[in-house]
Amino acid sequence: MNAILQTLVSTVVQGSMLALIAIGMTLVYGTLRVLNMAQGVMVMVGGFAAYTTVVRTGLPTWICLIVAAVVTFLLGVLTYYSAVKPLLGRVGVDFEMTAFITTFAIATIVQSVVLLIYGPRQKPFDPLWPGRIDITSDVSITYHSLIMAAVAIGALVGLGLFLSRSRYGLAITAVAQNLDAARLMGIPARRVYVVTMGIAAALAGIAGVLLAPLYFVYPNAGDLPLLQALIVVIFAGLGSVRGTIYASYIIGFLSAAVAIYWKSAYALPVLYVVILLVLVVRPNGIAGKPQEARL
Amino acid sequence: MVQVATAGQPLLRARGVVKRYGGLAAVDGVDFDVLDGETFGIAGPNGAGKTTLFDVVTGIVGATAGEIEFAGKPIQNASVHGICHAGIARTFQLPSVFDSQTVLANVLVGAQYGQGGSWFGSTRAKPEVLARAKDELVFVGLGARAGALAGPMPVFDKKRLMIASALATQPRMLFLDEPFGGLSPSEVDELMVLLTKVKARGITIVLIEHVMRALMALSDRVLIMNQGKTLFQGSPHDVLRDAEVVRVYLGKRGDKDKDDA
Repeated sequence: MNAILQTLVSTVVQGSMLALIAIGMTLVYGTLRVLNMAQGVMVMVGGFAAYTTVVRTGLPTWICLIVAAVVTFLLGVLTYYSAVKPLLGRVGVDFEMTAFITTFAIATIVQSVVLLIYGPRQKPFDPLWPGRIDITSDVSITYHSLIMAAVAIGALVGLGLFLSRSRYGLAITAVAQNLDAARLMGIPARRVYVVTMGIAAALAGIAGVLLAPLYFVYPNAGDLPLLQALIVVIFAGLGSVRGTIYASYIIGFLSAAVAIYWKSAYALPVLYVVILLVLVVRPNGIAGKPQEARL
Repeated sequence: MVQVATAGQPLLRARGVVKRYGGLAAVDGVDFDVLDGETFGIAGPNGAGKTTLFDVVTGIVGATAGEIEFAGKPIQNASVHGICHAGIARTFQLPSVFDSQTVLANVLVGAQYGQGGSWFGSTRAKPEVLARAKDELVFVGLGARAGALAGPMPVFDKKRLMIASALATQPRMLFLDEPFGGLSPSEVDELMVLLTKVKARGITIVLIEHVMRALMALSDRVLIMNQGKTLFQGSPHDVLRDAEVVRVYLGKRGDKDKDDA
């Protein structure tokens, strides 16, 4: 009973974090057809932005969430201008493959710069809200886990409302589903691209702050989140927002269940086996569809 | 939109338009004028370069050579959205809508972003834009389906939705790529009535069409293309008498309607 409860709690927390990181990759892939390999360093930079804010200024920790979001939004915009925009519309360039490599290059550069400034040592980061709450005599949740789930779900709901209710979201969806029709109806696609990459990075930055107390702040802190997000988006079917949400919680559940009932070291290998099986059965992922049905 | 009184003047001028894909010239030196307020029909065998010509004019693909002027301004190097903001709208041969959005949201895209202006101003929700989108839906006869999802709709509804979205951008000129293709005879009649109403609003229409009955009835002038070149340009009345058009495109019984879209 306690193990089941623990698995459920862990699924919600981990799934929400995965969704927050992976949804950005889905947005960028849906609108730009770029598998954004810089999403992992956005998680790491978010953590460093928050760490620096707290250490240098002593501002309350919730402000560091906003700082991290702003810093990573700007870094996402910078990634667009440096790694993606120069490739758009170039004749004879395999855009998807080249952008995959250039965003990977950005990730490596950002990681090296952070390493140069802060060094390789893992830096501790306090939970946003210390303490824990007991559910039963054996199972307790840290307040920080509750904040993780709440902030992540809040950000996802906000994103959903932005995409479905705002005119800007309408433009993003239109570009993702039918680029030519969207442009012919007067949407400047590049304005949509740059904001999409900024939002995607900011979501990862927020995730980075939330993950920092669990995994520390260090230059490679984005590697594991990138790997997990890649598994989620491939499992979901590239470009599907709804599929990404489902896939995040399924993957979150699987890794929680394996870790609790078996061994935490087996969680990642088991995920690879699952993703392999899914791709053999459904090459487009669980919700993958042709281009016009994306987002 | 304020219509400048220029009826009868060329609204669109195309000179020596060429589009080459490697060694293949899909459009090979086409000249034509479209006069303000007229309906200009384009026909020709498959692979004649009609859709490529549309793609070049609307900026989807760049011209290899040639000049295109719209309302006196060159547009051959303008961006796709810039061409839309200048006053050109277009529909596609295959029904092309935003599948996961409602019918109203589809039209709203055109109404919201079709006029240009500053980008951040254009992303604000405005009640008059929503009202205009609804008006265009009523205009094409989809007023009752505003809340339905666009993806699962039948072909005729999608074609009308594309026209509503294009009209919502408030164009001076509307390009229609085979609007009658795949429609039943009664739907063809209905769409002809709709396009006549569009024309009555003072919007210049350019349409590609294989359904000769519709092309002949709607067009003031026609351009027949073959292998990227102009085969014939003139009144729809004369086209049926042109021996070369009959031989290349219409076939022996050129006086009979050809409804093989």
